[in-house]
Amino acid sequence: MADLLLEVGCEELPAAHCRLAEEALPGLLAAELERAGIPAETVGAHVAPRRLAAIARGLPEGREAQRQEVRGPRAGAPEQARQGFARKHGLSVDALEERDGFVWAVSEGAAVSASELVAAAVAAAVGRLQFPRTMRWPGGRFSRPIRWLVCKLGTDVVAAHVAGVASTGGSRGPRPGKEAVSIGSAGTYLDDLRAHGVLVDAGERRAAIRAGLEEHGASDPMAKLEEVVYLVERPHVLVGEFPARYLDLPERIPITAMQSHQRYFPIRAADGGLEPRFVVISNGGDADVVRRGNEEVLVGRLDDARFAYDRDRQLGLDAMVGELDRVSFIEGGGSLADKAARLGPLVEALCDRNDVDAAVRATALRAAALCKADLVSRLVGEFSALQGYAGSVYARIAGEGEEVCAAIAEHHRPDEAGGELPANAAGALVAVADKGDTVQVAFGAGLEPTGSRDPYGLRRAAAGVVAIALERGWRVDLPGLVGEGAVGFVLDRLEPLLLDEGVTIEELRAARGSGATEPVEVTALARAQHAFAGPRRDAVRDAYGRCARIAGDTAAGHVDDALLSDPAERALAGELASGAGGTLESAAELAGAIERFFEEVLVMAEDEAVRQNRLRLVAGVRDRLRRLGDFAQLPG
Amino acid sequence: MAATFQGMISALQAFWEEQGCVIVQPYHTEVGAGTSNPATLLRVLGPEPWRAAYVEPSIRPDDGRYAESPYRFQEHYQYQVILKPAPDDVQEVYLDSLRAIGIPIEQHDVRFVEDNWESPSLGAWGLGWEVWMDGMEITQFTYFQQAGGIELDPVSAEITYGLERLAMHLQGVRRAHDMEWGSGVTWAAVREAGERQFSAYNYELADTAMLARHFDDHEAEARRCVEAGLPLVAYDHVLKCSHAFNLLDSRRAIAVTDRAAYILRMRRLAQAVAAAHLEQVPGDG
Repeated sequence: MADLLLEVGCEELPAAHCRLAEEALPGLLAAELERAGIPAETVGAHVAPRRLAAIARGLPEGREAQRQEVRGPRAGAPEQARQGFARKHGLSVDALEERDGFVWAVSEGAAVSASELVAAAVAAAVGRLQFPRTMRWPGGRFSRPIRWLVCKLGTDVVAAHVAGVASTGGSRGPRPGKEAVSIGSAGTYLDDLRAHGVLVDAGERRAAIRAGLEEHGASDPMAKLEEVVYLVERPHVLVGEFPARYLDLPERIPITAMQSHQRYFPIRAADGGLEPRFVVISNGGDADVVRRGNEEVLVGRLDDARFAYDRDRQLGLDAMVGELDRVSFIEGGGSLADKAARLGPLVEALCDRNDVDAAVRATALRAAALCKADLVSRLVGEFSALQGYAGSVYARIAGEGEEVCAAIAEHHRPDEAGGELPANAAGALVAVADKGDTVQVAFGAGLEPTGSRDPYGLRRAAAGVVAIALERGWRVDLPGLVGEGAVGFVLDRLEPLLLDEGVTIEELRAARGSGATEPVEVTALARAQHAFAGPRRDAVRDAYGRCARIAGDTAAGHVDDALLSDPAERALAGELASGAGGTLESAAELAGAIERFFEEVLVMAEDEAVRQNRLRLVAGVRDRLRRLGDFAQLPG
Repeated sequence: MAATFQGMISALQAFWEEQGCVIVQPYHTEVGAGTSNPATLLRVLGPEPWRAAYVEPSIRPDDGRYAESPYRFQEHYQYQVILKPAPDDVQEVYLDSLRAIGIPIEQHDVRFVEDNWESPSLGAWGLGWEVWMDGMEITQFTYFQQAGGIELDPVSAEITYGLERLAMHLQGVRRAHDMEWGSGVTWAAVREAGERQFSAYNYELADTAMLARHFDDHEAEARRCVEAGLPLVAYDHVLKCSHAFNLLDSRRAIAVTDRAAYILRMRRLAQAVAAAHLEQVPGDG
């Protein structure tokens, strides 16, 4: 038994790529070792910005010899054929075995030591790592250039190659130093680097940073911690100060100046207000020098913010609205002024469909007209994360009502899948209209997302529409809001929400097969299907299947009572006419009548008129049940 | 006494000359960045090795602040290094260059933070980092992947220093105005009047009808030059188109619906120039 250490030394990897590699590397390496016949007991990963490391424990000494038998030509085959077969397997003709009327090549194989197998497994595992975007450099293609490689089995260096880089037993320490760090083995790896200040394990760095933030009462309102964990190898927690005069800016402005680009952590006082101090996580250096440098950078950023804020206030919200025709939205979607103009009618349509009260409607329409104004503000130019918030601040200064300001501030929500939704109804109306319009325009311009690429955030926008509609129970005319071509794309966003509740994919497909396009309706149908799972639903499913099969492409139509002779068909027609089958409960009762109908009535009657009448009846039942869902999607 | 602006530039010139770079000169027509200088944009094409370094005035009309901002100008200075092919130790060499201009980097927190670069009008993009020193962005560091719509092989490393910021840091001043350019003369004495006048011109005075005509004329001339087998000359006209576009933009004279079309016209020109240039360079390009 031996432990394997792999360290792929890279130029600084993007934080998001670090996380992907940390997640994927153990599985990939485990699979490759398994394939090579030397499965590990456990495989774990340790990732820092300049290194992707994996430790595989408990590898066997090697792969055992494997006896191999290959069948060759028939026993009576010509000598030439026997020779050719023997040659192919590296045997002499004498060594071939004969049995069951055939010639066989039998080899006992040879045992292979783990060290001979590791190099290929390691190269394959690294080669299979996937990143959203890779780069080329003279030598290879990866997330960023690979510059060194450590590969050790026990205490021995294994000769491996990745991207043309040969393995050694030497790693590198932290920047900016150049010293090599000698690595003993998998067991000493983390400590060997720790001795040089490098915490290779992200969990360790996270804990150290968290403890520092806690100690200084720092907060992370824009959720930067997870990124910072992968921006440093040797985290140091420093506290800096800035002049208190910047605290008279609206609070989210200094917070954004600290967090958005610089990834600093603001500190709150006991009374909840901001303190003129911040935490910065450095990657080494002299603490005083680094602190002073970061303080100066922050003051520069705060000055920019102050300058932008003052200029914006001088300009005023109305003038910003007036500039919206200069700025393009998505290619093919006209200007931001055009977009703002489209929001009004979309908000009206939503209000009409949901009986929204007049005051909320008026608030939403006002917010819709103003909500894009801040996109031309200097403040949003400096800090894009302030979209919405900046608009609400300037709307307040312009004398707009508090509800309008709140709606402007909230119309970007949710910012991410599962994120917080607009708290007020007017904000929610504008949010749905805005996101729907974005999806409509982008799809119209042929810019729908492909694979992992979604540059316009359309999945997030569509998920926002669905989440808000469900939370508020709003009816949304999706074809009108996002265009016919994007309805399916928006309804696809229901999947994670409903699967999370336990609804199965088949139940959701059945609900969508009903033809409903209202997110609330599809959701209600899917939940109903899920709640009704069991023998009674199976009975409806089977009844539906029978109706669909028999009716074929017959369209439902008028059922002539005069042509109904059998009591079972009269009963079924009566049920249908009385509206039965509108709910799953009622459909389950209807299933009994359907079963009886098929037992007692011959649909394919000889009389053409009777037959067509019966087919129309069956088609009518099929269509009635179909409104509850496409039962053919449910597992049988 | 901390290094002057010109002293720092001299140190960079000496450092990169030592690294085998040709020290070329700033380009003679306006460019938005050192990348647009043909010593970078055209030389990264094709297989021929190339190492060059130079100061480049970066002319960005929309960045003008009438000399009121401490560090944002419509004419700022970059130090541009292009290394083709990108050497294996290029990050270490870059860090040595910081030492060479007098920054004791062991005392600082120097980091490479993901930042990718793209120029739609030049059909160019690359992946790399901003280099931070104690939270301040001092350099853009890019592995050039494509230029003029052509995949680059070999890949070049591009290093672009922001010179004013570095000098301000070295001298410990908060405003560029107070930074010593050299021989006791400040940045303000050298640049302030120009920043004021060009900001006024860029935002208030530039004749937009004339600029639109210039764009059309230079576009046509670029095409004629490409057809005549003179890609280097054609490229100058592309740069003049680009500057006319930037001025029109700072004058708010480009309608939303026209913007993408202008960019596309420039990209097509850049692609035509790159293809024509590649035909003429030696090697198997």
